[in-house]
This record gives sequence, structure tokens and C-alpha cells, in this order.
Amino acid sequence: MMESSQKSNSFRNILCRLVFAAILCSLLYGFQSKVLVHQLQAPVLSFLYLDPIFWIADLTGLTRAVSSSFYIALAFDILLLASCVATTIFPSRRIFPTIFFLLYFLYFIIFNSYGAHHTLNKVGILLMPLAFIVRPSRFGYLWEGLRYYTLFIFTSAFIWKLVRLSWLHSIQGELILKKNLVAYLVYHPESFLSKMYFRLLDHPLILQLFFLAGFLLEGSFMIGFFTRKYDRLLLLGMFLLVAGFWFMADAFFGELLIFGLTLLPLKYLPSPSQNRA
Amino acid sequence: MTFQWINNTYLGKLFKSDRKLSFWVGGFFVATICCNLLRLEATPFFLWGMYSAIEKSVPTYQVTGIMTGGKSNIDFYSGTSDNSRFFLLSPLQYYKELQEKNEVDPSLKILQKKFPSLDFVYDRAFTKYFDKSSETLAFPGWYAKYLTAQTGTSVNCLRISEITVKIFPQRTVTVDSAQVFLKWP
Repeated sequence: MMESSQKSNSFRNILCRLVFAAILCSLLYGFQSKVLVHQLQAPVLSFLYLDPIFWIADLTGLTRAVSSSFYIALAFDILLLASCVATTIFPSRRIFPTIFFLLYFLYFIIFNSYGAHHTLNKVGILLMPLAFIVRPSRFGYLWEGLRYYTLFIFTSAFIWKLVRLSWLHSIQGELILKKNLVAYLVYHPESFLSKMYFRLLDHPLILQLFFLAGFLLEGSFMIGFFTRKYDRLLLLGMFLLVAGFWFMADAFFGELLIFGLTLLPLKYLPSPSQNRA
Repeated sequence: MTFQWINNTYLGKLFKSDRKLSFWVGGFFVATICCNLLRLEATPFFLWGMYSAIEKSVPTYQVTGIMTGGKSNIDFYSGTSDNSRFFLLSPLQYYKELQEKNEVDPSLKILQKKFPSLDFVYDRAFTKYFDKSSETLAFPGWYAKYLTAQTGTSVNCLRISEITVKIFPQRTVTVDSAQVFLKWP
């Protein structure tokens, strides 16, 4: 019993390091892309939409206070990076992922408010640390909850398409490509990729088949609610979908792949359904 | 007996072993599903539509053209990441939308449609929360600063336009017209 608990804890720590190493890569990518808070040059135009959390953050003046001063923003970014690094070094200390989660929550709001579009790309980085904030005995339960959430993401994308009947729209694939990649076609008409896009636009049926394949692949995530047997295939499906969104819609959901870690076949997790097939 | 299967689910087992956590996890899932049903996104209860809306067939498409003194537009597909492109283009689209809507936040119209009985609240909150005129006034200066940081070249003047293009099946994209919507200084 004792040995199992120790194994479970060391397993948690390995996963913690893995998750936060991935998060660190995302933050460094953000730094290289100049989208960390101190690099935003004190943005002025915020888009809150109908999200109450964004409204609260704006009404309290929190987002503006952090982003409007270079030095406060720099201190914020340093703390964000430091809490991520500290979690990687000390995975068993819960204080560091807690600090990281709170700071990243604010960063998520700042990024989406001043980016003027509420993108979901960074949701994985926002939610995955939750598993390491709770006490280690609860880790397995939450990790499994995150696995269900991963399944929910793609299942709900399937259901949305199903109920909105976009899967019946015979040129949906073609129109998605045109709408999202027109700028790329204008700026790089002679590139290899553009030539491929033009060729596909000459054969819109292939684009429609891509769209429908993606739609069915999203639907296949439903099976994960009943068995873990196909998790590896679902992980592969997740990679394919991320690649598909990038190719068809110029939308890179790379950071969402962090959820894929929950689909890895893992032992030693004290979760409520560890004995399931 | 009828609901015996619930005990074998993830939440059922979680409820038996850790009641407090099961309420948090269950509450999160219920709230997420409710938000999806109401089509209302409230962080952290997200809507994962992922290109599910039916796309309309249109004769022309709009592309953003950014000029900083030179004669050609900045190619924001070269040497920029998706993150950079997001921050370079998305605020511009919102700025343009605000220009078209007399600098009033478009969410006001959606709120008025969803909750018409709260008109007195909107009237009181209008100047402070929905009137974006002061933000749009400061936007061009900020954008020039951000573009300077992104490109590494000092931006002294800006001319941003919406270029209307047509895509033809014969592998061509032609520019139809261009309309400047931001000039700075």
C-alpha cells in the first residue's frame, strides 16, 4: 500500500515536470512571439465580449494595472516564468503551481482581452496545472477529470457541427479554407503551400472530405467516455486534428496538445476508474 | 437499483471516495454544459465550436494591408508566429468593427437583444463601459508602438487598409479595391 502510494507520488511528480516543461516551452514561444505582457507596449483597446470574468477583471482594473506599466508587466512576466520553472524543479511543492495558475489566469484574460478575440488555444495551459494544485491524493482523480475534459472538447466540437448542420453544407471545407487563408494566398501566391491550396480549391470535394473526416474524427472521441482502450489512437487523432485546423483554417492549436498527456497510458494513478478496461 | 450504473461512472466513484472534490468537478462539468446550452462563454466554461458555424458563400474576401511608409504592405506571414499574427491582426479587426459601429462595443447590442428588460442598466453603464471612443482614439499610437516592437523597425507613419480580393478557380487572387481605415499620425 505504502509502496503504491510512493509510486503514485513519484509518478505525479514526473507528470508535473512534463506538464510544466511543456508550459515553459509555450511561455518561451510567447516571449519569442513578443506576446508576453511586458512586450505588449501597454495595450489600450480591450475586448471583453460577454464573458463575466473578463468584465470583472476589467472593472477591478486588474488587467489594466498589470499591462499598462512596463515595470509591473515585466515583474508579472518574471513571476509567471519563475513559478513555472520552480514547479518543474520542485514538483511536490503545491505553492508554485498555485501561484502559476493565478498568474496565468490573469495572463489568459489579458491576452484575450487585448488580442481582441477570445481564443481557446491557451485553455490547456490554463487548466492542466489544476491537477497539481490539489493535494497529491487527489491528483489522480483530477488527472482523470482532465482526460474527460479532453474528450469533451472534441466531442462537443462534433456535436456543435452536428446540430448546426454544417456537416451537410456541401462546400463548408472550401469556404473555411478561403475565409481563413485568403491573406496567405495574397501575400504568398507562389509558395509551395499556396500552390497546394490552389490545387485543392480546384477540387473542392477533397476539401469537403477533409472537413468531414475531421468532423468524424472529433466524434470518435466519444468512445473515450466508455473505454481507455483506444486512448493512443485518440491521441493520434488529436495530433491529426490540430494539424488539420492549421492546414484548413490557419489556426494553430499547438498549445492545446498539452491535454494529450491525459491520454497517455498511465499506471499508478489512484483514480476512481483505474481498474477499467 | 435503476441508478446503480451511476455508481460505476467516474463521478459516481469520485463521489464515494472524495465528496468535496466530486462537487467541484461535477459542478464544473454541469456549468460547462449549461454554458454550451445557453451559448454563453464564461471563463472557465468554454464553448468548443471549432468552425462549426455554417460558412456563407461570398463573392469577395477581406485582407488587411499594413503600410509603414514604404510602397508595399508588410508581409505578416514571413518571420512571424501565429501568436504575433494574432496580436497584429485581431485588434485591427476589432478597431475596424468599432469604427463601423460608432465606437460602441458590439456586445451592447447582443446584451440588449438577450436581456431587453435591462435597458436602464445599459443607459447608466454606457459611457463607462460600452463607449470605446477614448480607447479607439489611443489605439493607432499604440499599434505603431507594437508594430515597431514586432518588426524591430521604427514605425513613424501608418496606413492600414482593408483590401477586397477575389479568389478565382484558375489559381489566382486578384485585388478588387482597398479602403484605408487607419492613418497615423
